[in-house]
Amino acid sequence: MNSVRNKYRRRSLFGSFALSLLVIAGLVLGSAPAQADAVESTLTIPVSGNFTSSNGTRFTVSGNVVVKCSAVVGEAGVEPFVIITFDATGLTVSSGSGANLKTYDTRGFQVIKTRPLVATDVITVAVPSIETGGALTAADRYNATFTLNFNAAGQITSGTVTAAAATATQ
Amino acid sequence: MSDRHFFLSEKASKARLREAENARRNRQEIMKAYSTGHISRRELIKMGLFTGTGLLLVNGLSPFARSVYGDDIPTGLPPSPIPNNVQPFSQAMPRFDVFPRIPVSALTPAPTKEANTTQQPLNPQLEGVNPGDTGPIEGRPPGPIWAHQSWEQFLPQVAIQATEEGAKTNTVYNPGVPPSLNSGINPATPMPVRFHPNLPIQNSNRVWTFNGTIPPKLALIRYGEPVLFRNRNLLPFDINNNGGFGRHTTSTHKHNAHHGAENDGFTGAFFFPGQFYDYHWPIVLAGFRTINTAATDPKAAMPLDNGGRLNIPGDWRETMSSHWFHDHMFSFTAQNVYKGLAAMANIYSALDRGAEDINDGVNLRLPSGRASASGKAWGNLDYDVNLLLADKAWDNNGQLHMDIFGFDGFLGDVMTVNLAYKPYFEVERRKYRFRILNASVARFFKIALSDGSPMIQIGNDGNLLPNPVVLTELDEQGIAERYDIVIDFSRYSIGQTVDMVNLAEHQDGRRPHEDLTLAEALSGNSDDPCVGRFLRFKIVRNPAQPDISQVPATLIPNPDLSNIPVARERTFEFGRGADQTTFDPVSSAFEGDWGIKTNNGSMLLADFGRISAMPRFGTREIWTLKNGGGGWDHPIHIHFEECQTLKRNGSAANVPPWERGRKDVWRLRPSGSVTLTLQFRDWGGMFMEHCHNTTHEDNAMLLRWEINDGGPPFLRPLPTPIPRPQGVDFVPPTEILPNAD
Repeated sequence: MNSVRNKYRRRSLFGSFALSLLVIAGLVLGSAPAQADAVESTLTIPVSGNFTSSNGTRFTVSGNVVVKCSAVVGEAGVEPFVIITFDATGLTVSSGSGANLKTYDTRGFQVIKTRPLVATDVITVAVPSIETGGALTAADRYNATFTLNFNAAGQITSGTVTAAAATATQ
Repeated sequence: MSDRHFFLSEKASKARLREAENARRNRQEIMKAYSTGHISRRELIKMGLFTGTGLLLVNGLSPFARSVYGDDIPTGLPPSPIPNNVQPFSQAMPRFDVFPRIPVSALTPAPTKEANTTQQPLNPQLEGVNPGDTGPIEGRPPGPIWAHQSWEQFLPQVAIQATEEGAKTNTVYNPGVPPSLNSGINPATPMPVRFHPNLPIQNSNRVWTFNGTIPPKLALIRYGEPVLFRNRNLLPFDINNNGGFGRHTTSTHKHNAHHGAENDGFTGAFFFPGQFYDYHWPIVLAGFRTINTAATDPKAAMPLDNGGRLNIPGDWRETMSSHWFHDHMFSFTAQNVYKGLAAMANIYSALDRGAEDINDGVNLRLPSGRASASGKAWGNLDYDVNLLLADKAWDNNGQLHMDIFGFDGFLGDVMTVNLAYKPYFEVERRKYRFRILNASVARFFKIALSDGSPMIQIGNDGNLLPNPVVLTELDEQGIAERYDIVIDFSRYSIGQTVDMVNLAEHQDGRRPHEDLTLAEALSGNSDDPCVGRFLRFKIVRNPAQPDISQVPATLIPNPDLSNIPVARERTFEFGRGADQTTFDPVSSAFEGDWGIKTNNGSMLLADFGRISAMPRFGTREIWTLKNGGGGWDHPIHIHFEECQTLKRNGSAANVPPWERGRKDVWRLRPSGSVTLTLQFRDWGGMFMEHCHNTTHEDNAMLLRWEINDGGPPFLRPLPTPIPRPQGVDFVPPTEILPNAD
């Protein structure tokens, strides 16, 4: 198995060899590592564009996604990482036009992910799309790719959202 | 697979595989000696084999020691062998095995309010037993403190009888549904204990389960119908006959029932092979003594066999739906639960009665089954499926294996669902409810569907949420957390398949290293063998009747606690570097590293003789749980009653939608904190708070708190039970923390 994530290679802020030594050193020393407080940051990313679901529905999406980050950096023996919360509550979604216009919402959709801290992380998330007044069980979804940039302190500095290909069912 | 991974790839060099296997065999002898009490952890430290954080990095012993074949790679663990004729999704997933519900009168001897102390001869193989010794037939501590509280008020109406015993073939499998709804499995076909039809049958001392059989067991219970759960310990009398891990004394905790401590599976109230323990589950709504005491609220009700309801006292907003129960033996919870001592309980109520066609204005009509089709007005399982997720590992002989070395947490390298290796499950084109339990030792899961389709989360930790939440990937699910979700398979065509995928990649037992994207998890590039597809749904047909089940926009709102004053606030910090400050007969041999700091006191190792908190009966408190480090996560569990999550990391805005209901397990997140509120009412006794990474729990992140001022017979403080085969002794608490009161 190839250990390199070909499609989603990211530039690491922390060399893996040095990390291994730190982990082993931490185990050998057996002492409680000094705790680092989490570093908090938030970024609001505007979204505007067309996103297509796996059944071909073309959604027009606008609004904002709020990305909250809580990073652990500088704790001995711990590879820096960040817990990222994506909040899509602020998105406005529609499909069709005129008599065929339909509106959707995300019903307060959130995703939380733990990721190693890297300078640029590319994360694709499936975002649900529920027709306004419609049943939750009829929710559709489209894929959105977030490209997030972080500084060495673990703070998110910038980001973009683009449409990604939908995931097909086998 | 990377050379750096904990579990070696089967493609690793023969030399490295040999090195890892030799190290594992060396550890096995130590592990067996430790699990049978022939050596203590303190002695292992004195011998230089252990540090406070786990096994010393000695090549030829520790999996973390540097391999002789590479400076910067660990020795690792040999991979669990999976023969070529064991392929993912080649076996049907068996549904849970439903316990028979029997009349209380069928129990012999009849259950009693206080423990039955009738004497019986003791098997001399038991530890500390001399020929001619006798001991009580029931292992429950004797006397009024451990009597079933409110016994006369809640006399048992139905009984469930179970054993804990070594693996044996199941010849009485009852899935509660016909084969057509159980992927074609014929329940009459004998089912030996093995993880796949082409994997070895497990030795009776390697796997221990309820009744000794698989699939995992399921109790169907309902509010307003007290249950007497009689658990007989039929595990080997000889403590050494454990297959290398596990302890034959047990204590059964129903997670997370609201009842007296005598029924809660207190970690120190364990019982021995040859004994039984009667657990009285009154199945009441929290607040029954003070709220809706006249039982006039129609939403607080028991589902009746005739389709009606019987009102019961209590707060309907405290209704629970999905419990599990498992062993809670002090220091051996990880080993015993991993070995198979885990089951689930579905709790039915007027709100969640398991009959989607009963439309009485109260029933939420969640996916379950039709009463008109089955004749059952509650508890239909047709489209209500329990899933027990657990990572396992086995040795070169295909026998279940565990490694306790390394206090961060044991990870297996093989995914199982309902103790079946990567199975498939046939579904119809309609909505299903899944009650998903993480029953691992240290592994977290994060579940998505392989096509990214939405799922609806309706419950968290057995509590229906105030409002359902639409997700395309569930939150990380820590050990003991239960997520109830609904998946609508009507979006698929017959013949299609869709898989459950685990996105949470682990490198060790500390915490998920990374939550992969769906594409990353499906790529096959992860070094973690338990990442990726683990359960396949095969869409096989249309339902015979239209799907009339619902997922209402409102489920169960939280109780309003704003008028209940907060009597006290406490903080608990969970971390390493703990001390053992007390020297009772049980814990004095204990040398873990994990501990709990109460109200900014010292970080202390577990001692179930120590009282860390004594909330006042009838009050409400606010507790803040803090993670003492950034390198690990802790799923913290509080026994006794469900709580409401007030804040994460100091802010209510940080509480995600799926945690805005009631819960009883919280992943603190690295460097994180959770603030919650809970009440101490209805019952008394000693309860627990602990990390549910059971390696952490056993080493020794657990504390005792108690409610002991609600009136007789509860003393202040309560004496600690110390079980022996000859009977239970009581000793004063070893310590009461200065700010416990």
